[in-house]
Amino acid sequence: MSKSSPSNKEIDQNLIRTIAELINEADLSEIEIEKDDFRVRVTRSRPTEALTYAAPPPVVAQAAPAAPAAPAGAGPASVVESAPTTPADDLAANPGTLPSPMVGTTYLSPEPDADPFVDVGSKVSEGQTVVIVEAMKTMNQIPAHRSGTITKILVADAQPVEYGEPLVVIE
Amino acid sequence: MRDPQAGFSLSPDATAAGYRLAGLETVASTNSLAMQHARDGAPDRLWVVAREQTKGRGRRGRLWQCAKGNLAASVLMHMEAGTREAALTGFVAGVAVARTIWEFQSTGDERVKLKWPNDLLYKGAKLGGILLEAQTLSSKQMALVVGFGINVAHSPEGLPYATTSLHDMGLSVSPEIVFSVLSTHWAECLNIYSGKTGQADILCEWRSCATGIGEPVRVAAPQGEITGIFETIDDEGRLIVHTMSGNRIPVTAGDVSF
Repeated sequence: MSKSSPSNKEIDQNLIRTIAELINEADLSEIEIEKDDFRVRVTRSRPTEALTYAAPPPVVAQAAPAAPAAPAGAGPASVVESAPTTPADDLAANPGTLPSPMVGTTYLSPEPDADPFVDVGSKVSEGQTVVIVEAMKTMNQIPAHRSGTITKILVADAQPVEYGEPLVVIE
Repeated sequence: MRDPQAGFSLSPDATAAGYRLAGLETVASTNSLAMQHARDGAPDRLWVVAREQTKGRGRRGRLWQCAKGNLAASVLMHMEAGTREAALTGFVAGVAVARTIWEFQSTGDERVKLKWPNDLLYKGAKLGGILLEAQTLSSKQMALVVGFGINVAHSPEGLPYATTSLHDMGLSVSPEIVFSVLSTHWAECLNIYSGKTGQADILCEWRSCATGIGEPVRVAAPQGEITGIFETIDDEGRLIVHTMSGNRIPVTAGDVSF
C-alpha cells in the first residue's frame, strides 16, 4: 500500500472502505473515482489489497494509450512507482504491445464459431481488427496499432479485461 | 421501374436533419455494411436498411435472424472516441425504437418495454434488439454503427426464449413504414440527447420504458453471477444491482434475467 497526501484534502476513510468492499463484491481489480481535484484509485492485487492515493492534477484517460504506465490486472504488481520489473512491465514498455483501451470483455472472433481475427504468426496491417472488446453494450473492434506479425495473444475468448491490460503483441 | 432504395425511404424529418439512405433487397449484415461504408470514408448519418439479412448478428456474434418482412436497419454515426458516448447512444436507440412501436400501438394496449442492455420486449417476448458496434477511425474519431432488428411480420423460431412480432401483436404494418417512423424518432431522440440536459433526459425516458426495475435480477456477468434487486440504470448507463448484503454493484456487461 502506498500513500501520498492529497493536498489539503481530508481522506475519507469511510469512502475508501466502501470502495474496497465494492471492488471485492464486484470482483474488480481496479476502481477510480474522481471529484473536483481529488482522485482516489483503488487496485486489488490478490490476496491482499493495495490502496493508492494520487494527488492532483488528475490524469485524463486516453482512448488508446500507446503504453500505459501500469497495466492493471496484469499480475500481482501494484501501481507503486518502485515496483520491481516484471514481465508485465516488459509488455507495457514494448511498443508492440496493444493495450485494451477500455474495461470490458474480449472476443477473439467475430462470431462464436468463426475463425479468430488473428492467430500467433498472423501478419496484420495497421488498422486491421485484431480483437473485440465488449463494453457497455457496444462491440468495439480494436484495430492493430501498427503493421507486423502477431507474436503473442494475451487474452482468451470471453475474458474480462481491464483498462490498459495488454491484448496482443505485434512485432 | 425497380426502386433504387428497395422501397424504403427516410421520413421528411430525417431527410431534413441530414440523413441519407442506402436501401437494399438483401445484405449479409446491415451493421457490417454500414461499418464498411465508414472505413471507406462515408460521412455519418447514413442509414443502411434491407428487406432481408442473411448473416445478421446479435450481441457476442449470436445469429440474428431477419427473414423477409422483418426490419434490419443500421445507422452510421461518427463521434468522439470513447466508450461512454457509445454506450449512451445505445440508450438513445432504445428510446427511439420504443417510441417508434408506440406509434402503432393503441392507447389501451400494453406498451413495449426495454430490457437492459438492448432488447425490445412485448409482454416478456422479444420483439427486437439493438446491436452497437464501434471502430476507431483515428485517435479522436470513431465510427459507431447502431443496428436495429425488429420482428415485423415474423417471430423467429427455435430460440431459447419467447419471441413475438408486430404482426403477432395484431399490428398490420410494413417494414417500410416502421423504418420511416424509426428514422424520425432516431433523429429526434439524438437531437434531445445533444441538448444541454440531453443525457439525463434520455436516461430518464429509458428508465420509464424499462422492464424489471425494482424486481429481482440475475446477471451472468463476465466476472460471475450477480443476484439482487435491479435498482436502476445510473448516469453512465450501468445496471445497478442492489445485493442481499446491501451493496450496489454497477454492471457494464452481462446477460440479464428476471
